[in-house]
Order: sequence, then structure tokens, then C-alpha cells
Amino acid sequence: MYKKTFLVFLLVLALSFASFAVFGADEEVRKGGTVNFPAPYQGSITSLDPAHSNRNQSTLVYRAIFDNLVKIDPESLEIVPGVANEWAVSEDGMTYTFYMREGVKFHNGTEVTASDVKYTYERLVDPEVASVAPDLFKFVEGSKAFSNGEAEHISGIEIIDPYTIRIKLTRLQPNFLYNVAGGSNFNAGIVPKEVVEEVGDKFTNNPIGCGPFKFEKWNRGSSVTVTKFEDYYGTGPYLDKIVFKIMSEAPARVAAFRSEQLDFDIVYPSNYAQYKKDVYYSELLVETAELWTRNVTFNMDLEKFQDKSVRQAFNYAIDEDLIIEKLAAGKAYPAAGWLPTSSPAYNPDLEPYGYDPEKAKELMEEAGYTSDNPLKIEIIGGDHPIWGTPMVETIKPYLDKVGFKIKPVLLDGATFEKKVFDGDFDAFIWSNGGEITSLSYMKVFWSETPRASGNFFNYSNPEFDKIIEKAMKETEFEERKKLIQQADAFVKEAAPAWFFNYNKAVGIHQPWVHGVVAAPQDMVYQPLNKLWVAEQSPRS
Amino acid sequence: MISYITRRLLQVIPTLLVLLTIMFFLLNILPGDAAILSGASRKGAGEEMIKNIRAKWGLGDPIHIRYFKYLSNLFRGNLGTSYRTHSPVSSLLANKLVATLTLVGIAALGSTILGILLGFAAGMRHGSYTDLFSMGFAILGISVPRFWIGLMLMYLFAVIFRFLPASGFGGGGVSFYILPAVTLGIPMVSLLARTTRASVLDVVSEDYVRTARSKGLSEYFVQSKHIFRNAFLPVLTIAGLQMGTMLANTVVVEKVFSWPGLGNLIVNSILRRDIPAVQGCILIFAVTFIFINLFVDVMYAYLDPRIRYD
Repeated sequence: MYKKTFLVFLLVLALSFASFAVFGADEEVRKGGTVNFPAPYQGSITSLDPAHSNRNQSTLVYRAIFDNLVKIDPESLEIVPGVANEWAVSEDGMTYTFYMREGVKFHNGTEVTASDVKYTYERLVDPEVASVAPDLFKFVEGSKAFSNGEAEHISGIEIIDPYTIRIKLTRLQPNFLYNVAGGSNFNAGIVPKEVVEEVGDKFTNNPIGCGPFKFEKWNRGSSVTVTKFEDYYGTGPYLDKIVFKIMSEAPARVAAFRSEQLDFDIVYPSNYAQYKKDVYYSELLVETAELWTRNVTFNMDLEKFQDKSVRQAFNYAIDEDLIIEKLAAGKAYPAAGWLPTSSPAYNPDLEPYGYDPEKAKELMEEAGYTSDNPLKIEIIGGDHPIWGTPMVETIKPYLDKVGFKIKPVLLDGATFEKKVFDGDFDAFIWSNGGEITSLSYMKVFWSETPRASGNFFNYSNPEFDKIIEKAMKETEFEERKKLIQQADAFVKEAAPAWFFNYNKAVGIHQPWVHGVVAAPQDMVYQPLNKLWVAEQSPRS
Repeated sequence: MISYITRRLLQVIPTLLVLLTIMFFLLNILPGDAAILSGASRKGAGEEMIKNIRAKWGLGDPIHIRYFKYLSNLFRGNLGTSYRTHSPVSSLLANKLVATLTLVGIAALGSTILGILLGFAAGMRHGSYTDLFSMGFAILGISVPRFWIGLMLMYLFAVIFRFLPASGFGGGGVSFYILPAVTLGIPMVSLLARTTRASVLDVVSEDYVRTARSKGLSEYFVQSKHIFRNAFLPVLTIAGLQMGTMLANTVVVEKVFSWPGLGNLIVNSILRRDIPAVQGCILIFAVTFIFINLFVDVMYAYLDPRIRYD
């Protein structure tokens, strides 16, 4: 009996050690190996020069090659030190001073100094460069004179010494640090002045930054390879190499992931349900609410949308939960207002409209519309199953029952965008947002935001403006958050759109990949310097 | 023959000019704004940015000015600069051209040989199992959509058997060519098999074949010299035309397999209204197609002594 108990004890002990060896060892960061990472969106990687593309396909690679003075933590979305390890903001919030680390190297071995930073920011504003991000430094003193060709430099960007730089603003921007971090698309990645001045537009062919990985090879249309930068100033990188594979077709990515040729992938609704049911794959999923709001935007210039009852009726008429369950296969979060659940100012107490067709009918009748005398709305959109015309086809029966007459119109991307930016539509279905800060996210409803810059509704309400303008001047985060929540509730009630859900961003990684986080800005914006692979990886 | 080739070569210039002119105006009147599309995202686009991009690429100029600028640049060998990538179109096209032409070349060569062999075997053994199998394969190959064939091959050989890469270019490794080339080639194999079979069946019953056999010539000699050579002429025309179709089909196949070729480039460029890149791709497609046709016509004259162009 004792012998048997002793044997069982030994067995348990052995198993404990074995499991420690298997699982415990994985906790220790391992250096080396390659990760095959997809560039999963439509279109190719068009530029490796951070000034020239604001498509996520390119941003994905910028994040490996370049670094900024300050950075955005991909999981918490908070500002963290980058090349500058300290910064100070003046009491009036109009002057920012950045203290850079000494000895930070570009991939070509030269040191990163304040003059490179100044050059990087001026380059973004320079009309001759025609960058995609001139707005990041638009409210810096002297920026306008520089872009008009009246000054050689932006006077508000001052080099104090080789490692200190001061930026003066012309108006309060509580989120200016996010602009320094490059905005949503990482466009302010620091570039080496001397190199860019020498090669000009050819910089895209051989980009040099001070990020964790240096550029190795670009097979245009196929892949971009970056390798470990040994002299990186920050944490890591642990991987030897990352190969960004341009794969816009979801079925091809699924095949590559399942055959272990990809180490990471983003998951679409069609695969989400399959992965979720699978014992092996379900453990490898990472989920979060993405910073995008799927909605049908109403054109507030039109007479037909002036009556709030009509806009609210649209919101009451549709069973959004059923749509999430059936059409999005559970890969979405129900929307209450404009701010998604990952937004720092999200208000969990904000109640959604809910499905109430009777109330919708009542509101439509109040506005003078019935099934016999319906309100005709043409909704334009692309072919995305969730935020395109297939969704409009789905909601049409709900809306037609309460007094609308919906006509879905499918357009190609270019025609669609032209119409949206020109305001040539009744309503459109899209996924809008993408801004990291809650203030920028809500600012699209501000009457001074032009249509082309995100106020596609052309929404204008003096009461809303008062709230948002107050938030723009508020430097205390908690106070600002309250104002933004107030603005969100205001917009929800005003209903310039049908907010139907926030995307549940889902990523999947191979079991040997470590360091993957739930990144609300975009699931592909992983902390590349912190990723590492266990020995079981076929590319270890 | 030489004067024929010279005449045909001279015809290329006006043909290309007309084609490029039509394409230029069509592309420029398409709805969509290249300035917005090259810089904007779903978050919107700053007015400053749109203004700068428009100025940099001269998008505010009247259309006829842009047309003459395009032509004058073209005559100087400058295909312009891509709006999306800020790189010269010629450099964009250079490596894509190699990727596409190699893929099309391998697919065309393989499917021509296989298609003719299958068709010839089916024609010579009319009504046999070989005939049944070849024609069954041919009907399937023509009927099934290319992207489906691609996805099925990918699932079978990359996910189940795991001995071929699912997609990508992989620096041009041989294994990366197999699945896209097979996907691209299957419809051509099918069409050539059917055409060859029909052509062989026509030739087999000709008097000269019967005469050759009655003269006591060996079956090998009859089949290779009398049947194959005569049956080959209509097949050559189809093969030439199919090469053009195959070039066009790279648009689908390159998309499915993330192949970095012209097909992928033209789709992405059209979607973002990157007009200089689209024009560059069209120029390449047109020139390739024209030269394939010329090559087929010359081969025709060479193979069939009855045809005398000069």
C-alpha cells in the first residue's frame, strides 16, 4: 500500500516537473527566429516612407523600422517614452519640450539628434513633399508660413541642443502627444535628415529609421523583410527577422495559417465561428473592441434628415443583436453611441436605442411617413458583408415595415469615396473612426471639422460644439473624459447616424508565438519588438 | 517574310497610340479622385493634404494638358510616377513584369504541351477511355472558375499535404510557381485538348492520311508527319489567343496567390485610381499581346507552306 502511494507521489512529482519544463520554460523570453506576419488588407504596401502612406498595410512596416519621440502603447493606447525619455508641457499647455536619449542610433549608425526630428516634422508639412499627414503639425507656430513658402523653417520647432527640442503650438491641443507619436498611421517616424535630403523620394526603396528592425528586402507586391537592429535603444527586439507577407485574400491567409506558413492572422466572421468551436484554435484567439464604429451615416444637409424623429426611428427599427449573432457570427459588440468600448472615454452606462419597431413606426408617423407614404432613402456602400450593401439588404425589410423605402446601391471603392467626400449621397454605410484619442474620435461631429476630414454627416449643432470645444480646452483627463461622454450621449440622442456595432477585432497566433496583445487600434499593430517565438516554431 | 514582319511592326505604333489615348481618357473620366484616394483613409483626408497631392501630380491641370504631358513623357521613355508609391512607374513595372511573364511562360508552355498531348491521344483513340478521360478533364477545366481551382489546390497541397507553399512569391523559388501556374494553365490545357482532338479527328479522315497509310508508311510517320503537323495549325491560333487570355487571367490568379505581378498591380492601381501605374500596365499588356499575335502569324507562315505573305 505504502509502496503504491509512494509511486503515485513520484509520478505526480515527475509530472509537475515535466509540466514546469514545458510550460514554465515558455515564460522565459527566447531570442532568435523569424515570424511570418501578414499584411492582410486590400492593396499592396505602397510606400516604406512614413510620409507617404496612411494605409494600414504600410503602417504595419513603419512600426518595425521607425520610432518616434513618444509612442503609443498598442494595448493600453497610452503615450509611452520613445526616443524622448522625458518631456514637459508648459502650464498653459501650449509648449512641449522633449528630452531625447543620447546615443540612439539610426540603422546606418549615425546618431538621432534634434535636427533629424525637426526635419522629419517639417517634411510632413512641406507642400512639395505632399505628405499624407500635414495636419499632424498644422497647429505648430509658424507651420502655416512654412507651408505657404513664406518661411524656410517652422519657427515653432526649436532645437535647444542636440538632444532637446521644443514645440510651440498656436492653439491648445490636449492630444498633441498623439500627433508626435505619429497619429493613427505612424507618419511621424523619425527619418535621418542627411539621407532623405540626398535620396529624396527614393527613400522609400531603402528606408532607414531607428526602430527595432532594419529594412532588408522589399519584394514589391509580395513581402517586406526586416531584420533585428542590434543597437536598438529600447526593449528587444527578440526576433531575428519578420517577413510581412502581403496577403489580402482571407482564404489564402487561412490556408497559410493552418499550414503553419503564417505565424499570425486577423480573423474574419466567416472563420471566427469555426476557430471559436475548435478546441485547438480557440485557445489562440485574441479579441478586443476595435476603434471603429460601423454605422449608416445620414447626410444632414438634406431636408429628409432634418427631423430627429426620422433618424431615431431608423435606430429603433432594427434588431441589432440578431444581426451580430447571425450575420457577424458574434464578432462584434453592440453599439450604444459613437465611442467604442475600447475608447478611454467609453461610457458603459449609455443605453442603446434597442429594438422597438412600434416606437419606430410611431416616430415615423409623427414625421408624416407611413408604409403607404414612405421616406425614400438611397444607401450607398461597398461590398463588405458587415459594413457594406449586404448589410443594407438585411436591414431593408425592418425599415420598410416602419415607413422607410430603402434602396441599396453598391459602388466601387473609388466612386464611393468620391461621393462620400463630396457629400453626394442620401446615406452611406461604412465603418468610421480609427482615431486613437476619444477627443479626436468625437471631434468628427464638431461643426468646424470639414466633411472631407471626417464630418461626413456635415453635422452642426451649437450645443454640441460648446461641449466639444470645452473638452478641447480641458487639460485634465478625467474632466475631459466627462465632457466627451456628454458629447457622445448628445450625439446618440441626436442620431445623425444609425450606430449598429463596433468591430470585435480578432487575431489568431500560432502557439509558439509570444507577446501578442489585444490591440484595439488595429489587431495587426502588435508590439513587434516584444514578440518572440518558442523553439517549436518551424522558423525558430 | 521580312517585309511582312516590318509592316506588322510598323502597325504596332498607331495601334498603341490609339489604345493608349482611349485608355487615358477612359481612366481620367472614371469617377473617383486620385488625390483623395492616394492620401485619404476612412478617417478622412485633410484639405491641406489633398491640395498638396493635387499640386504635386498636376491633377488640377485640364485633361488635354495632362494628355499631352503624358504623351511627351512617353516618347522620352518616361512612364510617369505612381501616385500611390511616389516611385517611377518603369521601376514598378520592371520586377512585376518578370514575375508575371515567368508565370505565364511556365503555365503556357506546360499547358500547351499537355493540352496537345491529351487532345492528340484522345483524337487518335476516339471513343476509348483515354478519349473519355481527356474530354472529361477538359470540360471540368473549362467550366470550373479559376479562383475556385486555386483555392482547392491551395487547400489540398498546402493545408492537407503541406508540401507546397500556400501563396506568395518566396523570392522566386520553384515550389512557389507550381500552384499558380497550374491554376492559370488548367483552362488552357482543357481548351487546347478539345481543339486538338477536333482537329485530329478532321485530319484523320483526310485522303492524304489514307494514302499515306496505303503506301505502307509506318504509323509513327503517318501520325507525326501527316496528322500532327496538319492538325497543329488551328491549335496554334488558339494557343496564341489563349496566351493573351492567360495574361488577362493573371489578374485573378495573382490575387488569389498574392503573386507580385502585373495582374495584382493593375487591380490595386485601378482601385486607387493610380492612373500612371494603370497606363504602364496596359502598355505592357498591349505590347505583349501584339507581339504574341505577331509571333503566331509568323509561325503560321513558317509551318504552312500554302501561306505566303510575301
